Amino acid sequence: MKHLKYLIPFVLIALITSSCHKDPPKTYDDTDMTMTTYNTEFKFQDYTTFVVPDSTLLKTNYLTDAQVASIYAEGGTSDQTLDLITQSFLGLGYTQVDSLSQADFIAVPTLLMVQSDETVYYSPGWWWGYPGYGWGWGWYKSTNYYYWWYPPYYWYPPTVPVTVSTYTGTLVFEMLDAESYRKVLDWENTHPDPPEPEDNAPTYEINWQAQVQGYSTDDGSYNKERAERGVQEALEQSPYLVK
Amino acid sequence: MVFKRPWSNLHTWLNNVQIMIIMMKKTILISLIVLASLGTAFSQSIWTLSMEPSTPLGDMRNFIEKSTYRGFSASASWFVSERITVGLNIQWTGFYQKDERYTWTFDGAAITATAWKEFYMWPLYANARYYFLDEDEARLLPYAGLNMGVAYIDQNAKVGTYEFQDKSWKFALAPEVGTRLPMGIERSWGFNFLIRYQMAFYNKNEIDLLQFLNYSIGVYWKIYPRGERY
Repeated sequence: MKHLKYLIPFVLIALITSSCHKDPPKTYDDTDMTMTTYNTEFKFQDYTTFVVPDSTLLKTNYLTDAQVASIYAEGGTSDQTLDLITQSFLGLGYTQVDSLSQADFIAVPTLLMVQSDETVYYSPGWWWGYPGYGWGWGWYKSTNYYYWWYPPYYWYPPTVPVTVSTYTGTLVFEMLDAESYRKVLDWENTHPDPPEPEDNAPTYEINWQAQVQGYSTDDGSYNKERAERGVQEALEQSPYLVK
Repeated sequence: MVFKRPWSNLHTWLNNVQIMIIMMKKTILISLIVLASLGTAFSQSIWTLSMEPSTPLGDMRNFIEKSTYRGFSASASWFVSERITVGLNIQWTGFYQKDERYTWTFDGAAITATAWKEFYMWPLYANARYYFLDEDEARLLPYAGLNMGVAYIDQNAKVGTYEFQDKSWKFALAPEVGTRLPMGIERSWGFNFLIRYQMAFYNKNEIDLLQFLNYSIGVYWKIYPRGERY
């Protein structure tokens, strides 16, 4: 008992120092993020109708032709993703239409399967390239990325670097303004390819973008649970989209 | 739970606050030297080491709700009269919480991911305590006190692969109630129990008033001026 008072500080110090630790990320799930960005000056209530392409865009630099084919097989990742984006916008109160001319916006689903040792930063719409190449229905590109040289419609918060998760695939949903897309198509028809820099070309307007990491597994197969959770999180982050 | 504007802009009055804090730190330092030199020469002093679990309150719960047992304090106080002590107190408290899916919202963007959130506070206080009973008679020595000073605050979070950190010095205040339990025949040491209500004027990251409750369990020793004890 006499020596108790000398022992107590050491016990205290031992307890305190042993408690100073922080859990590191342990699983893929720990680093999977769902992110949304939007044009804060845009009134989403102005949109009513949307159109979806006939398949999901794919951007990859490592999938084999067979893997790509399985993504586009009937009922594959492409079809399931299209269904998910369609249901999401219908659930928000928008009306699906069949033609581009009737649509206020295009609901664009893109699957990014990109291997890179480095962090990849990208801005909305950057993979579309120049108009001559075009974004089309069911278009995909299976080689290395190419870079847009087009002036993008820039509203992206510069403080938020957005990374492409390379190990599990990232799903990108976007609301591409249909009018801006129609203008680009018209412009394409009247301009040679490639256009001159001074041609002052129209640009795409993307007013909302969601990224869901961990959307698919390494081989491009669909991870239903994560996809649905991620899309749900993206919609919860975006209450301004509700009609 | 939504956490907005992690990188809040510095307010225009921040410079003034910083100057005030520097002056306060100097005042505390000078007080410490004066107290240490005068106090040990002329009055009894009480030196305390404590473990201090804490529970977040108010706005702070928007960031971290979980209580922590990671905290300690070291304090020294001197009797300036029979029942009043003045002293100094240095503390450390560390809060931590992991959220499985945490949404971080800021202008034009939001992120939902696993979040590791931390909050550290190092208050440096000058304090005064009033004892309700006489030092040499009662079995328990209850008191009420007030701490005032500055606090170094480190708030940080890792959300998915993003991180932010916000460090600052803030004015802090902490009223407390507690009791000493003297031990031994000479009552020269004992245990100290107290509850302290911590407040810091934070005004950042959606936390206006930073508040939490300390539950302190400690040990103290009395040090006597030469010649006074016997």
